[in-house]
Amino acid sequence: MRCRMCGFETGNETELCEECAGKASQAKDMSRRKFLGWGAVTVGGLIGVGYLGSALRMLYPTNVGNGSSAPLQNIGPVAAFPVGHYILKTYTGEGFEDGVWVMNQGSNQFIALDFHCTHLQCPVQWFQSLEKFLCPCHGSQYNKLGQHIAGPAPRGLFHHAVAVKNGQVMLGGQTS
Amino acid sequence: MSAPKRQRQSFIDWLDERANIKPLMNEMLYHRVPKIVNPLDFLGLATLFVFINQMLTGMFLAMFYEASAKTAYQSIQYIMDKVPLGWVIRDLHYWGANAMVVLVAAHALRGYYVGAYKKPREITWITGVVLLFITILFAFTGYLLPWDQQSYWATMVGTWMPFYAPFVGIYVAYLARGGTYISGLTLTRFYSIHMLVLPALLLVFFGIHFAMVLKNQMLVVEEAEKKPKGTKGLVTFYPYTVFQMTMLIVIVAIVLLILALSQHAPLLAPADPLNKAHYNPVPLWFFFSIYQLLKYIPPVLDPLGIVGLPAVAVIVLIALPFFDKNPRHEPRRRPWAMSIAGVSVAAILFLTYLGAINQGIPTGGGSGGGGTVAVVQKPSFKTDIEPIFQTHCAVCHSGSNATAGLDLTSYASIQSKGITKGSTYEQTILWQKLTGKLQPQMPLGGTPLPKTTIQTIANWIAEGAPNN
Repeated sequence: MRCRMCGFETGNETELCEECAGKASQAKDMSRRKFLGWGAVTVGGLIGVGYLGSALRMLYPTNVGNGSSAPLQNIGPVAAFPVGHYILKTYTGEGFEDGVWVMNQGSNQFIALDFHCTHLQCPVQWFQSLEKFLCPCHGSQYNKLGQHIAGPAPRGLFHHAVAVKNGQVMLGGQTS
Repeated sequence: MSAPKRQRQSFIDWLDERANIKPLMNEMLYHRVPKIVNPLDFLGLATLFVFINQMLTGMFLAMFYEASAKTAYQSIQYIMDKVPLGWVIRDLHYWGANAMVVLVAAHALRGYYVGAYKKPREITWITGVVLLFITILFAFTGYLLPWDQQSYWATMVGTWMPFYAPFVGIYVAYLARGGTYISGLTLTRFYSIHMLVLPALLLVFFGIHFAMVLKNQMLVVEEAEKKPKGTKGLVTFYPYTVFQMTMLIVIVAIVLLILALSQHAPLLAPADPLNKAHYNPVPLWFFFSIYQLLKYIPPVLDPLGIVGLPAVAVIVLIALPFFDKNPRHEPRRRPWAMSIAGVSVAAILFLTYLGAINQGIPTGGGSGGGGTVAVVQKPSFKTDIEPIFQTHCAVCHSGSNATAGLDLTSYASIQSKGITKGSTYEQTILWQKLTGKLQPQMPLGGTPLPKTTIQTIANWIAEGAPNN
């Protein structure tokens, strides 16, 4: 009978000659070893990814970036905000307190600016006489609308949602 | 006399029979080393000793410390004031933390200088670099725990730095903080990282680091063996080197103790997220170099200074053994390696020094204002004087809540308090406050104004402090 792999006479009734049979069984063995090895690595990797992924999911805060949908907080009657003056108010987020400069622009229009400088998050101060926000750390400056006018900050101050309801000023989360 | 000795001998034999400890003991205790060792080659050991100090003092601090935004500050006060020896333990931990950063850096520099990162010690070097960053993370996470103004605002700034990394920046910042800003959630995760995550990582990398040192032996030992007289000048590690090591540990321990007993770890006012007292954030001292650099580079390059340079430093340090293929170890035979490192280290040290003496409000207003300010002989209030007040004084002295009721943001309010009154400028309150003749010197808690700036103000007062 001719060998199924090399075509030479096998010398008996088997389908493969001795040489080819040896090679075939070795190949089979190798693929089994590879399979077991890669299998172990894959399973181990999947378990690791599972732990790591769950840990990241658990640790990444859920309360960021949804400022517009956060519930509004009452920060006092409109009358407590003289027109044209910034007042520092507290916005209480999930587990943290945040300073927010709130100004009455007149006719129930309010502007609310986060007091963290957009450069490296130092607290900015409002200077009524200068009509500017100044940062004590690297000297960034913002105008009355929170727009960046000088210093290293990459953008203007972050805004907070703010609205007037039934004569009360309602402050919301950080929006943009 | 011989009986107890035989007993001890048999205990080691007993242990060896079961745990095969003799080869390990021979390797660790009886290998041959040079008789006189450069003390700088013991920096790793000094670091290890200080780390053990951190572990021990940390364990006992953890028994009293309460990691929550409401209780953390009070628990530190309790440790400092009420717990017997509590202040010594905290001060040892504080000074140990600073010593760790210094010693790890010095250890790395020594390794670099003698070329100990070259084949076959690449793994020792790489794990060492990882241990350096673990040490910095230890210091950074530990810094927040007292929950005072200093730690709160330094962490606010430090966790915002990743924001400047491309693509993932804001996510990393929020992940580090556990929210939009620093909160009790940040405190608990920093505490867990400080107490559990980093020690586990450190043990893994230190295990590899130490095993590789044992396996490849130290470069000084290898070089001593190569010398013509061979192993003649060598002694066994135990007891000769062990004795020298013990002496070194005694010295390090005494220095730590002196620091701890003479200078308390700082504890400022409790963290105030609204910063009602106008505290000016100050970075940790090993961020001084970046902090100072940011003042010199234009704002558009900020991402480069905040994220780019540190990232390049990490990559260069880790990959160092693979691109420095020069097989020579002697510093004289490595001119490029020596000059590049020398310049980098000198630059970092110089910037750190400048950062240290320039804490507080930057001179010249904003970034890029590092240069010397020229004296103005006939200053105008509008163009010369008002900007000085706005940049250096207005943070506290302005508006209806101005400190001491003194508003320095308009000519009228400056005059109303009479701070420029006096027959000569030396007699005015303004000049005396700026020069420190009248304490406390202004700007409060910041660097004094440059002499040239003060002279400009003096010239203005001498002209009669006009509103021009």
